Amino acid sequence: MSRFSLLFLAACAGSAADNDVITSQCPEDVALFEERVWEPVVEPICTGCHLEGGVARDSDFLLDRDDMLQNLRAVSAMADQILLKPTGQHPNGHGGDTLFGEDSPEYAALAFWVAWTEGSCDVPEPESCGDELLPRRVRRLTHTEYGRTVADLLDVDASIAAGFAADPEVDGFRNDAEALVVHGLLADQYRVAAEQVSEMAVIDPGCTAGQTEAACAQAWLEDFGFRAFRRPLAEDELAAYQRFWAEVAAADGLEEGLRWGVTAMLQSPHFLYRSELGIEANGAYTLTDWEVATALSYAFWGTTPDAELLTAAEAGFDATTLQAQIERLGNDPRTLDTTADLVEVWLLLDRLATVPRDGLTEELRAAMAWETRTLVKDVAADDGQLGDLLHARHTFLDGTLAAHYGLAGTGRVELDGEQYGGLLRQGSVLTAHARPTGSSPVHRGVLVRERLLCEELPPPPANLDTSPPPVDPSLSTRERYEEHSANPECASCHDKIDPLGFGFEHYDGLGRWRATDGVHAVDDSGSLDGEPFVGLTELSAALEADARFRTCFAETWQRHLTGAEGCAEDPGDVGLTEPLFAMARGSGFAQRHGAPGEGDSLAVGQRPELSEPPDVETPPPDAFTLTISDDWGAGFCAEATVTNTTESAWTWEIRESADGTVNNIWNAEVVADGADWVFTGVEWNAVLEPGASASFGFCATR
Amino acid sequence: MHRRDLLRLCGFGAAGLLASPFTRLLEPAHAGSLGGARRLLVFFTPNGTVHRHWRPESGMQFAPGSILEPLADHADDLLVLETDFVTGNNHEGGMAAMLTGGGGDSIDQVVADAIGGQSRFRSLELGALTSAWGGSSQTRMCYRGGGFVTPNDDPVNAWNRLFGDLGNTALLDRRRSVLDLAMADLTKLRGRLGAEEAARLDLHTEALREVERGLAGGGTCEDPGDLGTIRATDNDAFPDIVKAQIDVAVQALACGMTQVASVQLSHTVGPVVFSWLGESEGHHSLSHIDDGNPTGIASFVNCERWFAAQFAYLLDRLKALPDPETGAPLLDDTTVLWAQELGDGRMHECVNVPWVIAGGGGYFQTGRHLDLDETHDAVLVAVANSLGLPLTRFGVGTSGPAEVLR
Repeated sequence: MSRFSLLFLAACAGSAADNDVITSQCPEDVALFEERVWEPVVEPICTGCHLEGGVARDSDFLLDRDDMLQNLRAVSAMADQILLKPTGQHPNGHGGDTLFGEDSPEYAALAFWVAWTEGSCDVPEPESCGDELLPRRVRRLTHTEYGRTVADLLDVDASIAAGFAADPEVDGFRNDAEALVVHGLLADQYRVAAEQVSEMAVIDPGCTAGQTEAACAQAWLEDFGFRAFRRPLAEDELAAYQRFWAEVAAADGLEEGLRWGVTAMLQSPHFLYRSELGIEANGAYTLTDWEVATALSYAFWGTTPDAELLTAAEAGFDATTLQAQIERLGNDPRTLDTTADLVEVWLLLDRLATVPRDGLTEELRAAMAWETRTLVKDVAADDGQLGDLLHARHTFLDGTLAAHYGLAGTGRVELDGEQYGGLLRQGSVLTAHARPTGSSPVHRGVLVRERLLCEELPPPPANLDTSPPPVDPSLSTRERYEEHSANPECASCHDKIDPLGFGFEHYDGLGRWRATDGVHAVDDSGSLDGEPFVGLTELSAALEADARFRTCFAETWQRHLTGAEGCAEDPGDVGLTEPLFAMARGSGFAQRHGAPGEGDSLAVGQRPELSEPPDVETPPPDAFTLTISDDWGAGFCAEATVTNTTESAWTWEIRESADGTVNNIWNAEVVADGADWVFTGVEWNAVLEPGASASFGFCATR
Repeated sequence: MHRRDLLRLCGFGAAGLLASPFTRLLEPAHAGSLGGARRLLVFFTPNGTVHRHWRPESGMQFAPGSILEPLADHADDLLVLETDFVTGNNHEGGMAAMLTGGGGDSIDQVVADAIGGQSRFRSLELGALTSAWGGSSQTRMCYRGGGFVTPNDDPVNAWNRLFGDLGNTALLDRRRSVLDLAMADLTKLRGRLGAEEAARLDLHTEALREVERGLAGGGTCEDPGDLGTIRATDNDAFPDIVKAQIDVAVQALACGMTQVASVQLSHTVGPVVFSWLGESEGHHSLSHIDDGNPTGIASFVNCERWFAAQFAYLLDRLKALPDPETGAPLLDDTTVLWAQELGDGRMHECVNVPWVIAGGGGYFQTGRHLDLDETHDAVLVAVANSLGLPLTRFGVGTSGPAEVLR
């Protein structure tokens, strides 16, 4: 509310100024406008409607692609509204809905021009890529990473994660670090999966003669915990899991205790999140060697570090050993799989698994997915470049897919490059982007515009009749769409879509080449922003020569690896895996920025000294521990654990000498009683079963 | 445009995620008189309608072949509404505004926060083919704390969560210990994070509490058996998924395991192909067929009639199962809302959006068709009022309850 009011006031002030007929003190710099405002925001977003003949033709804001000075003046004249309308803040609304937020680059570009219009002639440095560090954070495993990780840890089937609740999709990515959280449903699915995994796994602690069961269990839990948490367990962590083991083992034996230990560790946040918190020095954070190993492993292989990588991390990385690990990881076949994953994300090929289509059997879906993965891996294995993938003259077919395409041969099959061949002619791509009843110039045009050029299209405006053209057998698909888009309201947007999609018209909704569309001859001529092309060979060539396409590929890699929006420079005709290597070798890979934590108590990077564990029969003596995690004199933060060492359930209450005023507490409640603090549990941990523990934390000022 | 920024605009992520949304909506003065319904069930179908095939004739006559005809036996128990959304337009805008009134938490979540606190499940969100495109403003309708509430698309998983392992207390104790360990680790990890990241882990903390409460036991039911096998991502299994999810929702209400449930069929722009009806075009494409294409319109009406038949099945079940406390049919004290996100699908607009209300504990005067002057936030206020919540306005709207519904 307050932000809205402020903006609104600012807008009113702007209007008042306009009435005084201000002329900007800053020059009408058309080139500057075009580079910093038109190209990044006005052209890609506003021209969808605000053109002669467009949906918003009757508004006060009219643009003209051929007259940059008019555009400059149109935007300048709108200085009082242009920040409010597309962000949904204007009291009269915006016919084209909300298009971007206030912390977007689009907003920044427009804000720059508003300031320019109002006489502030500073030109900010354009943001360059690669300077910005990622924030220190924890990243929840994606469902794919979860599946592969448990498969590697316990040799079980990775499909265990297939049924997990779908994660938010942000700009077509399902690995957005901010959006990946654990909600109630997912936490319960983690619980079920952990129980199933530990049941399926073969667990053999290999106890030696003379070893107590407890010592044997502790050694096994320490090792499994090391692999599951991707770092050594701290002493108190291991002790907690050991206590739980002892509780289960007392009733059901050694092995069952270990199974429950696994079940518990697989639900720990230390397993579910990859730590990128780092160690602070002079306000900057550097990832620990464990964190570097984890980041490398998930970047190259999409799974947990293997033994060799953990051993290297334990020894500590230097430039040479780090480089050696990057080479080792990058030259492993699993990096090819990651490259195939990347292409699937890029072209939204996950839709192939569910898109409804007559004649699209499970077998055919699988064969199409396999074809593309195999081709990508093959090109990448040959150190092929982006252009090699676009123009590949071979593919990989099984019997089902060969019969479907009407091609001879299985396995690696050489192609003519006319009817079949190249990334855009993959059945997976053509099938995932079509309508249930046939080809779709719109779906395929949107694929090129949004995914291959990374240019987002605004949604169709409200109150516009968007009925698709009826199937009129006297017209070809192309003719129906052309007639449809003759409507000027539709044309303003569809001019950016359909001419790209027409290039795909030789391919039906299942990716098969067709000589005719029904009885009609196929016309697959199209254009890319005014440059004509015919068919997919020429479209592929036009894309290869287009900096937007190459930059988009690099940006997609960047997003796939970091789980965060960033930017990329045009890498040229780049090797398929080159952006991955470049990021791993980059100076920012192990650097993070961000806010410090409330406390930093967890020892990382060193194996703890362990004392001989107590055996099953002896419960641990400590009922309550309190550790000051951070102390700055005037205040401190602390973490505490209370354990029920008795034989019966206990509604716990802990009395401690007060040391100031508690102003922040989690997982417990506190009241002051004379010179003491009295801590009690909250809803879910107030009552402790025998042997159970509750942890809580608080901060206080003295 | 960057969808990420839209997410931010919707308040996704960062601080304040856990602030109770309900308190700020409660305004003691001027609340309309309240009803006594004790359960809420929201049903959703996507992509709008064709009004001339949907609108009841001369009062509440459902013409032969019309979309609502499968509900003829329930006509006296229905309030058939046309309402304009207070804000939001188009597929995504409509989907986001439908249950939120244009901002904040969705009505089902607000109700759940008010009346679901003592139940084993504060609320249950169930879906049928909602997730092939991931979670987005297209595919989600329930919002809480600035984020989506993700529906469970797998009825077998949902069923097992409700009725699996009933009565095995040793197992439940062990699961509680596991949650305690996770909670302890979470507390420590949280301490190392800055405020923004810590807020994300607070969601995890809340999730563990939800799981723990969900372990609490079986409600008032005997084990009702199992559901068998259902392929939860298969287009052609849609009828099985929908029926099973309705069964899960109604059974959970009947067993007192939750007071608030939703069943979301597909999502806006949803491409489900009604192959079991002999259709081959996707539902979203059919929803855009213009009046010049009678065959296409007939196909769309065919699909919409199927949706109505599922809603009829849901009402059948609510009438067949007794309230665990009163023994009366469950429907009597349940407010049922069949919500949609668009009016005329061809026009992409949230005008004359076709909604249906049933039940409501006597709060609503059913057996009528109304074209409301009030915007849809007034309907959501009335829904909340029927459940005893003294809301006076909702979302970005300023209307009180739509009194004409009473």
